[in-house]
Amino acid sequence: MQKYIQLHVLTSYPASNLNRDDLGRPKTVVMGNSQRLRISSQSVKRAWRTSELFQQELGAEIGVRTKSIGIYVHQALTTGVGFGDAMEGASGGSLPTIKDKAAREIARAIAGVFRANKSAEKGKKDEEAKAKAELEKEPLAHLSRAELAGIAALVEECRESGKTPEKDALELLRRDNMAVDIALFGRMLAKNKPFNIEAAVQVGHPMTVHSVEVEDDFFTAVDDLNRDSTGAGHMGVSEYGAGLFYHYICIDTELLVRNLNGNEELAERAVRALTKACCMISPTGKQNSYASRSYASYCLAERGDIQPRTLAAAYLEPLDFKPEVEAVNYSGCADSERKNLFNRAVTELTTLRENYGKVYGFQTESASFNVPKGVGSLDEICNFITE
Amino acid sequence: MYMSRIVFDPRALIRNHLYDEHQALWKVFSDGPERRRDFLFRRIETDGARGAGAGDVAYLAVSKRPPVESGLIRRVDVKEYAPRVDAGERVLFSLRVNPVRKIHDENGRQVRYDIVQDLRMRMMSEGVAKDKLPTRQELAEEAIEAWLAQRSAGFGFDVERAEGWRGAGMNLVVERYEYDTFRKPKGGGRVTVATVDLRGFATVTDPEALTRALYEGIGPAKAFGCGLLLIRRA
Repeated sequence: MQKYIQLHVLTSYPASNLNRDDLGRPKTVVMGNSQRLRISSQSVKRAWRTSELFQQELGAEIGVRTKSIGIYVHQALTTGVGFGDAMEGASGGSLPTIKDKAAREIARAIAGVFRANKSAEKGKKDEEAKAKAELEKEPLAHLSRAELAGIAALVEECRESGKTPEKDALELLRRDNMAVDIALFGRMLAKNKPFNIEAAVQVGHPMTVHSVEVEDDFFTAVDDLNRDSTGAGHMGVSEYGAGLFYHYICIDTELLVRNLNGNEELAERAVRALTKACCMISPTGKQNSYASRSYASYCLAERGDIQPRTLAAAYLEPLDFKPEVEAVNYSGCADSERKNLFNRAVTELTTLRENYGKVYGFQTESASFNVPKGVGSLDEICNFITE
Repeated sequence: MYMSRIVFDPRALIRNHLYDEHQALWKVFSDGPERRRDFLFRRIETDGARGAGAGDVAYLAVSKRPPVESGLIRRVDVKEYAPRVDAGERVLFSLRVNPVRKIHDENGRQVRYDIVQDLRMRMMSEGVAKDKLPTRQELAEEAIEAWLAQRSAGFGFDVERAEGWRGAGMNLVVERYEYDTFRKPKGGGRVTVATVDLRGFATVTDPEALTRALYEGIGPAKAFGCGLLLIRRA
C-alpha cells in the first residue's frame, strides 16, 4: 500500500435526521456563506465500528468501547460469574464470590487503569455512595480483546485472593494484538499516555454540497406544541433534512501498520473494510422513522505519497440552481446534465482535482465508481487502494 | 388562533422600516379602521429560503383571524395555533421584547424608561467614566435578567438557571440589543423603540398564564414587532 489513501464519497440521503444536536436539530455547518447539513465524524465512525459489515470483515479483531469496566468487575466478583460473562449481562454464576466492599476496591483499582487517578477523593464522608458513583462515572475506554482477556484473568486472581491487586498486576494495557478499530480511529487514555494510539484514519464531517434549510423554526414547531399529551393522535413533527453529502476520508497506511505492530495483512483487511463501510453504512440516527439507509453514489479513491487534501472546496459555492450561473458553467451541456445535481457534484469534484494537479504539478493515481452511470465497482476500488 | 409566516416583497417595506412593517402587517390582519390590534408579529431571518428570495423579509405572526391577501406579499403559510403545554415541561423560548420600565414622574404622567439606557445613565451618574462603561450589549444582558425575573412568573414560566462565566445566572442568551428611531408620517412625533432578542430554556409553571402570554404577548411596543413569545418543546 502507498502511504496515503484518500476517499471522496458522494452519498445521497432522503429525508432523514442522521445526527442531531442537543436540541434535536440536525447538525449544520456554514460553508461558502450558506448553511449545509452536517454529520459529525464521531457519528459516522460509530456507525462503521458497530456495523454488521465491520463485524463480518474484521470480527474478532474489533475492540470494545465501554464505560463500565468497574461495574462489570464488581458484578463478576459479587455474583460469581466470569468477567466476560458479566460484560454479556450475566449474573448469578457458580464461581466463588467476595464481599461487596472488597469487590468495590478491586473494581476501582482495575477501572482506575483506564482513566485519570481519582484517589484524591478518598477518605471523604459518605465514601460508599461516592465509591458507587465513581464506578458508574467512568469515561469511555476503548479496549482490545487482548486487554479484556487480561482483565478477566486478573479478576479471577482477585477472586482467589480477595485482595486489591498490586501495582504490578495492574499493567493491563497492551500494545500488542491491538484491536483494528483502535488502530484505525485511535484512543486516548488520560493517565496512560504511552498507551494512547494516534488515529491512522482522519474522517471528515460529511456535509451537503448544496444549501439546506433545516426545518427548525418556531413556525414548524407549532405542530409540536399541539401534540396530544396522552400520546394518542399524531406524533409531532421531528426535524429532518435531505441532501447529497460529500465525505472525505484520509488513511495514513504507514501509521496504521505501525499501530497494528507491523501486521500488514491485517492493515489491508482493515482498509478494505473501512472503504466498504464508508460506501455502504449510514449513520444510525432515526433510521426507524426515516429508513434513510443509503449506499454511496460515487466514490473517488486516490493513492500516493503526496500530502493529502480534501476536495471540499469544490462545493464552496453551494450547488443550488441559479440560472445565471448554470448558463456560464454548463453552457455546453445538455439540459438534463445541467439540472442534475449529482452530475454537477461529480463534475465539480473531478475538475477541482485535475486543477489541483495542474497547479501544484503532481497528481495522485485514482480510481472511481459512479452508480448512476453504472461505471466501476467497489471491488475495483478496494483492490486499487490495497495494491 | 393562527400562526402565520408571511414573506413580503421588500418593496413593501422600503421607506421607513419600522413604520412600514407596522403598516404592512396591519393591512394583512386588519379588516377595517375600527379594528383593534389582535395580532402579534416579529421579523425573522430568512436567509433566502422557503419561498423567500434574497432581500425578502419574513414575519411570524400570531393572530385571532387568519391573514388576508394583500399586495406585495410573496408567500403566506398559515397554521392553526392552539398550544397545549403542561406544568413542568421544559421549553426553549425566543422573545423579542421592548425592555422598558414604567415610572410615574412628578406630574403623575407615565414615562417609559429603556432599562438598558437607564442602567447606562445610572452608571454614568455613579461616576463611571464613559470609556470604562460596559458595552450596551453587556448592559442589556445584565438589565434584562432582572427585568425578566420580575415578570416571568406572571408569564407562567421559570427561566432555567445555570452556572455561567459570570457566576450563576439565567440560562439565557441575549442575542441582540437594538435601538430604532423613526418619525411617524404626516407630521407625527418621533418614536423610539429599543429591542432585545432573548433565547433560553425555561420550565412551564403555569400553563394558563403561559398560553395567555403566547396569545397576548409580553411588554410594550407590540405594534412595532415586539412581545411575540415563541416556545417549542426542548
